[in-house]
Amino acid sequence: MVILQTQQLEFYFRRDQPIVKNVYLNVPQGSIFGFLGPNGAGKTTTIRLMLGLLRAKSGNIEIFGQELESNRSAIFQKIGSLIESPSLYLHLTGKQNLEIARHYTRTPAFRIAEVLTLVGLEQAANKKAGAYSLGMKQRLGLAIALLHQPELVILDEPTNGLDPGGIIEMRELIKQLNRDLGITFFVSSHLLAEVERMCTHVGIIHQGSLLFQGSIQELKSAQMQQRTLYIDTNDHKKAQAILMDLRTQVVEGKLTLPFESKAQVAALNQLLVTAGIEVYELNVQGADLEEMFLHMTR
Amino acid sequence: MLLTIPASFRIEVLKIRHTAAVWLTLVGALFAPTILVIGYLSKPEVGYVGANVNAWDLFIGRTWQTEIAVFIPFYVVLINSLIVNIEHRSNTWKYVFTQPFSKASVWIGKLLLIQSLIVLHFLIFNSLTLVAGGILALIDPKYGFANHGPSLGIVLKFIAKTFIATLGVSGIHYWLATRIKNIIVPIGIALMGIVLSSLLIQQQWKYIDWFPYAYPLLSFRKSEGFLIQHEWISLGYFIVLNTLGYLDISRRNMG
Repeated sequence: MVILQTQQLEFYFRRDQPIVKNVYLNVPQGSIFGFLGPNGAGKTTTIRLMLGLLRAKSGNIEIFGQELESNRSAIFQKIGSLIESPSLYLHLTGKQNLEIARHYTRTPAFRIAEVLTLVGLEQAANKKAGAYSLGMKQRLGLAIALLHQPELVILDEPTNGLDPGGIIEMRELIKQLNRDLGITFFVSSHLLAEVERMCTHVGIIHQGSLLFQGSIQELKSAQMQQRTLYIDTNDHKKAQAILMDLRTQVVEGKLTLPFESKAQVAALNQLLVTAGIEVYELNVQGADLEEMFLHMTR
Repeated sequence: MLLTIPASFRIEVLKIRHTAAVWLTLVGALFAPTILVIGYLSKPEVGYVGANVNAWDLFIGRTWQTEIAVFIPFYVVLINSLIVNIEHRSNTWKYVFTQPFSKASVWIGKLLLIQSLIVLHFLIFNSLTLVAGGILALIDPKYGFANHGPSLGIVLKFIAKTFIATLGVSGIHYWLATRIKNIIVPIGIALMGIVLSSLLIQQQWKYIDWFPYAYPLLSFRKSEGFLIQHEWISLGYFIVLNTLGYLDISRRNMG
């Protein structure tokens, strides 16, 4: 089931400089959806559109199967969000900030202690948020987003400003909440490695356009298809005849064919050697996920 | 939407703890009574009145005059700016507008808080005025406070008239504060408005009833009537500007 869906989402301040172009997003329920793109790709703008903070020039947004604009209160009751720098009342303590969130979302008071423990801020609960480090602010922002046990949590670059330990903690927390409570996460990031480690699904945005959307497996198989196996033998003609089911070509004096898996390489090798062909070299080249991402967003 | 307004108001109350807005409301109420006590003590003859004159009413009138001429216009502008500025400063508009509360309920909650603080300020200010009169009476019986009691009806009328007279300025500055992050600009505008209004009143400008910054002074000068022309216009400004301000904020890209 799709929990969040956008159709033909468009946004610009000036018509000739579109910021978000025709974005179709489908976030499956129960997923951790990584929204990946370099800085300035339109991630934050898309998130603001999804939350109704910006008015889309065209397109529509459905969350929990309801149209956003006419069901704001019902939808926001089930969403937690953390956009860019955390929104905190810096003159108030961590606990007082949660108190405000509690009243907005009509949440029972015992949840405050629960989320403070969850993000590890029990000790700092009575300190003013203004005196928090960036990492602590980020964690308090997350506590506020999680307070009312939302079904969907939208986080914009949640690991920004966290130290390496904090990044791992945040990632594990997201995975744990997703696994144990079935919360759907929509997480933006400019780091592929982070998305790869944490997410079940990914959408790649670049210059306002969505370039890829699907599960991490789908992304990986798309990437695999872009890799090539190079084989050097003493008899390319004979080898091609043996491998005639595959799309082999001779490029720069070597046989090439699309790489599928390591097992495929081993099987091919055995096939050629058994047929009496001398195999000098087996070499897989082409983009790994990182290169593919860089290539897409170049 | 109506049902969430009390909750929205409560949330706004939670937000103003430890803020300048609260201090200004409470400590600011000391301003005019303190000036008057200092004036009476340093020049006692201004406070010595004959037995026929009600010393209380004279004292209350003088504190109100100081309050209205010097304090009220700035206070009203500042309280509107400070309360709204909490959201700008904390970067929380995007938070507030993604909560399960309608934008109208947020707007009205804040509006009610600001107006409640202004009324609270008036109540404290008047209580302190009575305390100040009591202190002067104890210090020097020649002021004649013992001869009469304060006319509480007049006090209530002052409060009601002045409150209505501030609504026009509130209407302007509440909306302005949602648009301007900086707090100096509204204060500058208020200062110009106040200087201009005393000039215009002096020159008996015939459209003065349409100039909101002059209303508190006008209401003080025309203390005999209630809901006179400029007071109705003040109410009108308040309603129209709040409607426009709300339509503006609910359509604007926020956060």
